[in-house]
Amino acid sequence: MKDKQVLIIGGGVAGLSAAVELAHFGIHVQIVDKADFMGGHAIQYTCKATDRCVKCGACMVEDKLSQAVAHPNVHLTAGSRIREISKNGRFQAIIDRKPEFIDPDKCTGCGHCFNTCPTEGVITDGFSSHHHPFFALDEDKCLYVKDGSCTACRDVCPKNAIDLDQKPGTIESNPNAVIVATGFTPFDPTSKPYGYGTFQNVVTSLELERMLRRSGRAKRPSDGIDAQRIAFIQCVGSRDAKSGHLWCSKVCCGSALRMAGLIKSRQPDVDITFFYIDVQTFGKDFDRFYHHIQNDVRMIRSIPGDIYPGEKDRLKVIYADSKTHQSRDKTFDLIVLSIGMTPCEGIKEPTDRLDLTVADTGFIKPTPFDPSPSGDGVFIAGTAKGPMSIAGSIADAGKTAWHAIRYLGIDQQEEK
Amino acid sequence: MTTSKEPTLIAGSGPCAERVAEQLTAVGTRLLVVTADSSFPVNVNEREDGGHSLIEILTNTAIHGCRQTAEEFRLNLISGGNKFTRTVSSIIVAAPERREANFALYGLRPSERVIPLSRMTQQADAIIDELSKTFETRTVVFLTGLFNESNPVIAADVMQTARRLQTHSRQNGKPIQTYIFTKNLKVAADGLEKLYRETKQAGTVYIKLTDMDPEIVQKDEGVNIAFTDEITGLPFRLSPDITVVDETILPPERSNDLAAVLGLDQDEDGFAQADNVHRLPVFTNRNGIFIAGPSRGILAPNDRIEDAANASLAAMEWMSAETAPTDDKASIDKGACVRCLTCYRFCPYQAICLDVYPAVMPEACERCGICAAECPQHAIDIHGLGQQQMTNRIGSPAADLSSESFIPFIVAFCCSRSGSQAARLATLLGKDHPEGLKIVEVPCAGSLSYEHLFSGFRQGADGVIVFTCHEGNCHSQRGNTLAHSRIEHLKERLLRIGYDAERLEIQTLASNMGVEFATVIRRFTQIIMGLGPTPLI
Repeated sequence: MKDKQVLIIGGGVAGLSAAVELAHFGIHVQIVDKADFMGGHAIQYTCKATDRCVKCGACMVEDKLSQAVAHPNVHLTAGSRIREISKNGRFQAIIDRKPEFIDPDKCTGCGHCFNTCPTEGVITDGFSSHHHPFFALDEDKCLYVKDGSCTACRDVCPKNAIDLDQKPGTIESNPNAVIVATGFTPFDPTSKPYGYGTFQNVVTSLELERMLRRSGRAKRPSDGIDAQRIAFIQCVGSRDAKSGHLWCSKVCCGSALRMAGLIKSRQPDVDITFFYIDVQTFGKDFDRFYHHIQNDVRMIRSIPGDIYPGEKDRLKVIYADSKTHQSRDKTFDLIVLSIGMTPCEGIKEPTDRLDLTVADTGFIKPTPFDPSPSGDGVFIAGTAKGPMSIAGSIADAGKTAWHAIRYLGIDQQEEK
Repeated sequence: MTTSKEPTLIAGSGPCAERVAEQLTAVGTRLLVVTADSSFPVNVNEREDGGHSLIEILTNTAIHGCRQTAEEFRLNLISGGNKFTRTVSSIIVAAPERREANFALYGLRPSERVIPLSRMTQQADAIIDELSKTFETRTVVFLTGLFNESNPVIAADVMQTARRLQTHSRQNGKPIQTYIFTKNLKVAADGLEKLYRETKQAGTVYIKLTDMDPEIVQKDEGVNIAFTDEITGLPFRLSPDITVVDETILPPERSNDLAAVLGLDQDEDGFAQADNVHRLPVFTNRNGIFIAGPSRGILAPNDRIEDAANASLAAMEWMSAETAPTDDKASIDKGACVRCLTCYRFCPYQAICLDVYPAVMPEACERCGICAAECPQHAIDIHGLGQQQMTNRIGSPAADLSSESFIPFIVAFCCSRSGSQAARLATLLGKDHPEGLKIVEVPCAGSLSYEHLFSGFRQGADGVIVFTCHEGNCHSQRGNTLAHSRIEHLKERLLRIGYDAERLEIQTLASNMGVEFATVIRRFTQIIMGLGPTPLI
């Protein structure tokens, strides 16, 4: 299969896993991802182990990224988008690539550029030791790109790795098959009555993941002090008929309770409350984990209706108490909204171009597998099809890779 | 692509095994199916290969022995009292699901009116027809996940059946009222939230209990259920015509025997795949042996299809992989080996084959180094882990000894899967390593022998720290716990000779914990600063 090429749209855990599988069979894989860093949402997640591994799978994303980066058959292009894609025999794709301001061969990851840049958010840093270069430059915010007025990063780089005159590029690709692994878009909770975007101490579960990954502790964004009383509110944008989201996002109970356990192990005095509808089973060890976590976390089976600001940036949560059958309130200094998975924004473009069907949920409908040469050669992997865990995405990517390999002809070498 | 002459073994039967058979024969792979069942439906894509069938099926057959040699597994089989052998290139374990009804959990005994979920799922129409002869209005109660935590596989069966009963009643005019009693309704699978709404719309009543258990009493004439409604706080009583009891999904029949024969790690519930993320989705502790479907855990029907594809992919990959290079794998020096078989007992991958002398099978060896660390004769060598090589890699203090200030020489042994990646990430995040830190990467913390650990001190280290994966996350299953116990042991010894045991430390972390790596190193350095230079030199 040495002459076969596959284009994978999306470099999250599903795209990376599928790439690694295909590469093992000698297939050449091009992964494109619009983000500056490969690995999707999950590469930003924190390890949730206390002394024991709790099987959150975050390390497996690292693992897949490292395998993809190391494999000579896998070519990863971050900061890139599909401009055009069509099929006439093979596929023809034109991919727009952001300027390569930082030369990966020269960059050592010393971070001088990151520390020197005078404008907030122009140079961002990666999440994994497999992100190379570990820094990315946002051309929309860079002063040099705007008016040539600043060359601080270029001047400070000890390896001459930064070239601010780089221009956007294009990549042409003629793959035999395409895998759509565009992932999900986290639910935007601004529309919910929880004051997200208004109250600083209301954060999303993904923001908490990043906070724990970066600082190891659960802090109040308003003052950077360790949170004392934390509430997790589940099913924000999932199991939500009002938003038309008639699905469970599958992973939020697991990720929230595991994060609660992690925070409790590091900040033992913290008081954690978990507002939920039904606790979902996750992992083989669920019974033992769930039994144990209930000693550390106050479980309240109710979804709060409202949040009001209190003194010192604290927040008052109003909820219906199932024991007293009355409305009650509780005050917290950090509120975590477990936001659901929603269909990938901008999914319409690739689906239209590749003739894919969108289900009534908004996620891409899986196409029935056709291994024959008359099959359309387009495969869908991971959360582009609907909510999945990291483990689920890896398994789904394996299945997708298997289908792609069969389409490309595992036992026959004829050209398709 | 397939290079091996020998077929792939499918051990088991049922939908997942059949699917694997279908997938692999479709790409021209030769198969041997061994099942204890009396039949294995071959509705597979029968493709002839030079006039020979691609698939050989041995029914009523059990595997009672398995011996791995280079690239092959030799199986001892038994069928109707006959013993015989077969050779296969790889193995896929895929047995059908086994369930046990939770009668005892609810204090119930099976009867015509107290039935297990599977029976209701499979025979709903017949049961309802029978019921309609006796009762005008019929009440069916499902008990699920009340005194235990259930799962979406069972929840899907419960909800689908309830919906069927409710719609049945609409069609033939005789109403059936279904109730689902549960604590946490498990909807974390494709389509279940939608199904939940549909059952409600069809008329199913959900009684979700949080803190108070219902009182379930079985009398001759039926079952009485008393409970307090959580929304209104009012007491209710129900006497259903049919009570459906949910089920626990268990490892397949003979799972323990097969795991023992094949040398597979099991999880706490007895499924033949360890609860370890490195085994996802279909891998076992043994290279060349894969596990799919209900054999490895509780899986929804959709996931079983996925497993069949993944197992097929893994088997093809295993067979088409280039022969493993032997030079970086463990090797046993016959001259030094006394055949104590410590290596055989400790190898987490079952990579030691026993002949006149134990030998390492390079295809099976994952190069974790546990055997070498445990071998009492030091007869096992792995490139990079030899005593002299290790000493060279540790080196000696780089700090200028004439300097006034004390810069501790700290040796950090880092597991390649966690510690060394975290160390790299720490520097990328701008958290520079302390000046006297020496990172020594090892394949697994379990490869660190007492001699390795001590050589750190012998080379003049003021402190030695080991970074290993969290418990339950070791690719070699117990390399991390072995490292922990060796270090505990060594700390005791150090104490006994009057040496500061705090100079030796072990920490667990993951590859993405760069911040934590920096924090631990900083704290450890401070401890060593407090203790001062090592008294050993």
